[in-house]
Amino acid sequence: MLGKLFQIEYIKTSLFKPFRIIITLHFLLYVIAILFGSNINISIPGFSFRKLYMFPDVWQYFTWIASWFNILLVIIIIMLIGNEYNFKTFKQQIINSFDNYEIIAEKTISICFLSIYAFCLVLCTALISGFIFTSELSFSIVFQNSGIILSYLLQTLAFMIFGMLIVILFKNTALSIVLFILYRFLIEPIFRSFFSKDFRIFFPSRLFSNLTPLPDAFKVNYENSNINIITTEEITSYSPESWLHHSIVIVYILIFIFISFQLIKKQKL
Amino acid sequence: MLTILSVNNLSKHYGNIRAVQDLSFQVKKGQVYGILGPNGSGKTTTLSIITGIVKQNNGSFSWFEKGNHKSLRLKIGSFIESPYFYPYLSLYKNLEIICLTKNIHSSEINNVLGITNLLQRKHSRYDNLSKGMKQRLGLAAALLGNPEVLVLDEPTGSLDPEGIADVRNIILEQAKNGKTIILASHILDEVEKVCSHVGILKNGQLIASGVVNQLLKQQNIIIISSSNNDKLGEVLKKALFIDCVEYANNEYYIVLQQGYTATDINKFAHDNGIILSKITTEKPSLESQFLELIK
Repeated sequence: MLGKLFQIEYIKTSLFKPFRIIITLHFLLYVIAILFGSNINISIPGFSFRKLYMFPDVWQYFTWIASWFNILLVIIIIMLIGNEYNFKTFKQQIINSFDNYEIIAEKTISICFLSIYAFCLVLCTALISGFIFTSELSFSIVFQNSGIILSYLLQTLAFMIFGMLIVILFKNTALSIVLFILYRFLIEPIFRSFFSKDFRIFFPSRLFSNLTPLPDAFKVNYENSNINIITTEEITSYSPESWLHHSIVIVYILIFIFISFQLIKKQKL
Repeated sequence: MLTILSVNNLSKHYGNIRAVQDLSFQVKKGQVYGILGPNGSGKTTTLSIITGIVKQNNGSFSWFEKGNHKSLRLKIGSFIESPYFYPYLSLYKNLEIICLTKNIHSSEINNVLGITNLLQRKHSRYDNLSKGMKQRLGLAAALLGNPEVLVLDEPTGSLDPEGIADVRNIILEQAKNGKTIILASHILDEVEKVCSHVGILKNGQLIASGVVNQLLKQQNIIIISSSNNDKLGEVLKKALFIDCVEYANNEYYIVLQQGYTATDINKFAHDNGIILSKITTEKPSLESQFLELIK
């Protein structure tokens, strides 16, 4: 069953030109961002840029960089699902004996595979960078803090599921992309500001972003330099190891999938 | 004979609009059942319900006397409204997706593309096809898996005459092979030429149904004239077996009572000293029956 859904999604996705373009763009932008950073030789007391490319800091730094480009993965998912509404192919699948839950399942599979791709990309680049730049290697240094890469996997999954919910709600690709960006960078931050500090971190976009926080090396630098950065407060209040935060993200994912399923069930496809 | 589809008191409304009201009909194995009705009569809604796209508000339907479980849909090939495919994929890839969805082996793709004369275009992108080819691909998709039943909604809609003939021939060929076909159309000529049975819908209700030939086999119209039409008119007034007479274009249009034929009117005129210069019988078309019913 899962194999069948994967095969169907593979045919639809792999031959969709915008998918190939955006996924290539995602890969290139991420690699360029990393390569660009590796050439910066800033070294101030308590902070060295080169250190970010060494184990164990590389895990936190690379996942943080990769999180900038999650928006591209969300756009891919919105386009793929928007296509189904545009071409009315969800309707064709129902005619061909698919159930609503199979429709949600096949899209969730696409999301999982995109998350795994992003995960593997960060894993490989972090390992390569770590082995190149770290002078003293040991098992404990290599894998210290490496758990954050699983947080990154969860983050990509959460953002794409959120994108899926939006496009299923509005059934329109362009509108959904615009709304996602507005929500992520404008609506939620404004809305969040009305709530207390303790409550703010539980908003979905904030919560998902906090899974890959600003690297500790930067935070130390901020504290040392007395730079007044508005996000510092929220960043320092987050603990990525917190199982509670991860659990809440998982609950959000499940809720978004459930709402998507209910919407598909009620929609005139 | 096996009942392929049984529809019982089906109703569907969208807000205040009643798309289908208390609809009941049956389709037996091997029938080509036409659902005929003007636009907005509930044809597409009916087919959407029986193919699982739309859920009814009331009533039920049963496929193959076994209910409406989704596994039964695998035995049905459907083409609702217009074909829905991925425009950026080739014909072959589009059909491959359907094969995977319906658990059909992809070796069948070439077969259905052959039946619909699309084999040579199998690697063309869907959006490069003409409208007629797209309709034929829709039929090819419905034929995948050699389904026992075909559900077709306006399969020749907006096609040119050549395209209509192509699609119609494919349907007739499938009917000859013993497939049960349920076809919705507002094109009377299509139903008349393709279907064995017909149900006529108006405002979501079934207002007539039966065998197409029987629906057509109602009172024939006899057209007569003579060199002296005034005298003929006087004579016709005396004929007691005539239901109705109308005079137009120097001809009399007559509807006879049940059991009387053109021979009887010819004999009656001759017996009254009139030699008819013209006597023809005209069958009322399904169109006239249909228009009469939906008035």
